[in-house]
Amino acid sequence: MASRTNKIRPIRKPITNRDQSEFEPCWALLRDAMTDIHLQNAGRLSFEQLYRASYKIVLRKKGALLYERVRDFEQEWFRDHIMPNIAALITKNLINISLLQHPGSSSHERREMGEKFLRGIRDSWTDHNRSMNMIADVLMYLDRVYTLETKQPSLFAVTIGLFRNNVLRSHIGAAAEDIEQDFVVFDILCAVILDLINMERDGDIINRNLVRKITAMLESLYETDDEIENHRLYLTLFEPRYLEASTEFYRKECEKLVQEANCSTWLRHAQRRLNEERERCGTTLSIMTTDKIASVVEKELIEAKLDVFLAMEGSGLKPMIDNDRLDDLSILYQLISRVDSTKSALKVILQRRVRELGLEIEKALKNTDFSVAGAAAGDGEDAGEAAEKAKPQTLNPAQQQTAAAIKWVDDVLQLKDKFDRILSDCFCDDLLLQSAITRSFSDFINSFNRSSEYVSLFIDDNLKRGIKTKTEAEVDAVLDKAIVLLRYLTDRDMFERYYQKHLAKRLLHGKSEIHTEKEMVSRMKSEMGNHFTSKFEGMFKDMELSKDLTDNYRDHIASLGDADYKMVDLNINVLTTNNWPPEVMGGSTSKGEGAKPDCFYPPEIKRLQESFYKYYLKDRSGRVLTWVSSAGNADVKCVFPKVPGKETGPLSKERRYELNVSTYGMIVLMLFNDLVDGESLSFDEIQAKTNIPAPELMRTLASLSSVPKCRVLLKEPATKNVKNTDKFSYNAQFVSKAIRIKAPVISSISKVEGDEERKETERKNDQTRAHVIDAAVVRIMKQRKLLAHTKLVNEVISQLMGRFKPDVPLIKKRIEDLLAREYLERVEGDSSTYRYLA
Amino acid sequence: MNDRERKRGPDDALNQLFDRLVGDEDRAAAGAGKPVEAIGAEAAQAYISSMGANIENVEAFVVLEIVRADSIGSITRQGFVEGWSSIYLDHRIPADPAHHRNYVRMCIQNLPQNPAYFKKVYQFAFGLGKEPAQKALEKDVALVFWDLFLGTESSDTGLGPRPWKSKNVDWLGAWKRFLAEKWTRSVNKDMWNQTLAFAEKTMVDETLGFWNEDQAWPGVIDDFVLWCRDQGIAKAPAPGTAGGDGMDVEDY
Repeated sequence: MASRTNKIRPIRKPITNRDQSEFEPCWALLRDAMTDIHLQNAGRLSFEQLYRASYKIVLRKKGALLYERVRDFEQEWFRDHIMPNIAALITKNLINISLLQHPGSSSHERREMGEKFLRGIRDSWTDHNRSMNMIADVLMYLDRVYTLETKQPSLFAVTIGLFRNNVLRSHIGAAAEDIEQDFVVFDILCAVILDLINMERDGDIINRNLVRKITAMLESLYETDDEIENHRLYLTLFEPRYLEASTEFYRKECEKLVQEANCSTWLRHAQRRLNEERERCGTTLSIMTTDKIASVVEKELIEAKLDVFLAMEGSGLKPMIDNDRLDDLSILYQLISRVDSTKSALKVILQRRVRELGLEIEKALKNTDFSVAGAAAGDGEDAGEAAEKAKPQTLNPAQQQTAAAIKWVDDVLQLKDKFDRILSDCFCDDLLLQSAITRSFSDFINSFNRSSEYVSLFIDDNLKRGIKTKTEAEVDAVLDKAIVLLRYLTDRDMFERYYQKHLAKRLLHGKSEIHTEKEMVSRMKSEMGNHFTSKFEGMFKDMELSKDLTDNYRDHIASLGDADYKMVDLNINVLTTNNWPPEVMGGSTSKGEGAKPDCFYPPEIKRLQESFYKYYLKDRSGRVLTWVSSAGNADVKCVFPKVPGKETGPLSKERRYELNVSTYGMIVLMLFNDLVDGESLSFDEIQAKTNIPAPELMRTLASLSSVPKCRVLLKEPATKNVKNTDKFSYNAQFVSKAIRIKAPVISSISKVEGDEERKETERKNDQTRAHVIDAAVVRIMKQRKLLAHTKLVNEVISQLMGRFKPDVPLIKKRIEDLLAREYLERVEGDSSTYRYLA
Repeated sequence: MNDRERKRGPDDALNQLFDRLVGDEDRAAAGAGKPVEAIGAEAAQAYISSMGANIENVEAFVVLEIVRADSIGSITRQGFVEGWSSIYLDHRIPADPAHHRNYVRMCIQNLPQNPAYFKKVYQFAFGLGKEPAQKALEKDVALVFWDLFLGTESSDTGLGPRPWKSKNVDWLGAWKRFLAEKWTRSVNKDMWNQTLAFAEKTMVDETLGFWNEDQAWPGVIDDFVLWCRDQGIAKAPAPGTAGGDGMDVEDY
């Protein structure tokens, strides 16, 4: 000190004393006011006066002292006036029941006690909160200047925090001493609330407002006086416990449901719980918890046992689908969408069910076939399992098989309708599920090896019947359905083949309406592209040109003048080879090798053919016409003279009929013109004179000699089946009510192929596929020059997807073939990459 | 060696060498007074022997590859001159029989040790073995060639320069048995070349673990692998190691 004596010091103002003297009165004033506020006696206080007091203190730089004094005051007040009340609330009983969960208390008791406790806490809090607000107002200047400058928590934060420190975090309560467990008041508070909520979940009515007050308190208190937003006690203390307790609650509930309830109850229960929890957050807890508690319910109540519920017999997903429980399905969809955006549990079962139902259709079909074929095969034929495979010998089984095809398509369409309805009504047209269902449909449809044929037959049947029984709108709906099925088919080339065959028969026999046919084809075109329908369009064009040709030829003959009355009227269809199915063009059955000698035409017809050919070549020299005798038909005017000896009845008069028969039928009938009464021709003789292939001739003779309405020939012996040794003679006694008679043309009925035919069709189709794949490989390699094996295979598959699903081994074989033919070579050093050789 | 010779190579000398190989028959075949453009089987065999190569085994192929023969029984002037000439340019081997002999001996020694060279001779042999008009090798010829190149203890001709076998498997034996059972057609170039590629792989991994049906192997090799598994020659990989199957791949 001595060394500092020579330093000059600033004069010390005697200010301290004055400040000190001024502080105490001001503080006394404030202290009294605070006491009044606590005692709810603030009415007589002057805000202005108090404000000035705190203002003065702060101005005299005594803020720190005031801050401390206020804090200490409040702490004392809290200790002396509030804590005793709180301590009184915490009874041993309360602790036992709420915290230690001692048994033996009714829920009513617990509720009463819990709510009483909550009320106590609420009242203390409300008082404290109000008082602290008022005091903070009075000391506003302190907060604004001193607290802010010194970066301390606001006085309000500190004083309101007393509640947290002294109540919630305290180990108070007379009863607490006996308990070994370490606990604070908050633990009791929390346990009481959770208990109340569980009571409400079990159906009791609780005081929601009261609970809401308490949670609001927790929301407005923070972990520290710094009041960090995420550190609200509600979030840090209460919510985790609440979620944990809820998890426990719902886990148990779910286990109980699995034991006791069915899937439908579970769905509704889960839905109700979700709503309840959302509502609870709004009314009782805090909306901050809404999403979190929802995910607890989702996880514990929905997800945990989802598979078990879905698999429940009688109420699970499968019966829901089967019995069209649309409400259940809707709820299920909503719930599953909450827990799994891929909805895989739903998807997997749904897909499996689609496939199963699809296979059931197939199975049912076999069973139906069995019974129908069994009933038809009454003539001693073995009606065992072979019935389905047995080659139809009579017309009936063939028709029934066709009917089976129609049934299959109808059933598939029905199944499709069913799932469409489920999809739109219950699954909100979910794209994921839609594509899953579509894939399953495609799976089972394509696993059924006759689907292409059946779909074509279905269209065939509808277009044929469309003329008579269906309105245009109905036919339209059918066409739409056919297109739907077509989309599922992967082997579109097979379909094309069958459709061509069926269409050819319809066109040549005038079985359908051309504008409906064109409509159908134009829809196919927009669905599958030009290449798919080019042949069909070619067929239409042939038909149109042929019509003009027929008319022109008739005019031409008329213009020649010397109209021969014996001249036959010709109606011709000139068919372009590539557009029409080989079955029609060759007129041969599938096994016919090479060109087969044509049948012998009667001279009248020969003359006509030559005349037309000459006319035809006039404008089109160089073309070749081949007469397809198996595809035509003829109107034959027949005269049956009166039968001698018959004076009454139709036989006593001469009868004239117009008989419509196949070309072969016409040729056969012409033979009998030259026959003397009573003479007959044997089958072999007829064949020798006509050169009609035996199977065709059998069918022709059968239609002329066994079908009663057109039995113009008599057969000896008069059995149903035509044999080589049978003899035929002219039926002089033929009578018919109708003048125009149509002999049934057996081949015009589109029917399901036999196994042999089918193999043949597949073989042809495979050949075509090989060429198509070759072309695709070359096209791709020409463009890419260099391509790895796997990429090439994938590219081929994707290019041909629209037509059929190429077999990978087949593609590989074709690539090998192209390697051998030196269209491609392997790249040196990387033998799995190919190079295109121009 | 003058500049001209360096550029043109020793073509004149080689032509003279070729003339010395020509026998009476060859001269007769060419016709009187005309230059002989090719020598026949007898002269060719004599030449191969004179080069120190065994005409009974692959050593003959080594010589034929050098002189660019297009069939076993004949050597052309063009192939002879061009072949040796390019070797002269690449390796500076002078155009005289003694040096040629040395070079051939070196090649023969090289054959089992240098896979790239082995492959070159192997692939060249395909052209030697097939009939000129055909695109594929007769199966019988191919079998003999395989014995020559890849012969194992079970082969009639004994060990080849690169026996196709691994620790536990006589692959060539299996391959021949398989072909006898399942293969009736001729052997096209791709099959010939890929057989060697496949053989190289089997000698490294005799479990056939490298194979996968999605790869670019010819169908006959795919069939062979399945046949081997069937016969217990190579065990199918344990389930799970193949991987990739059974997964429901989302393709929509």
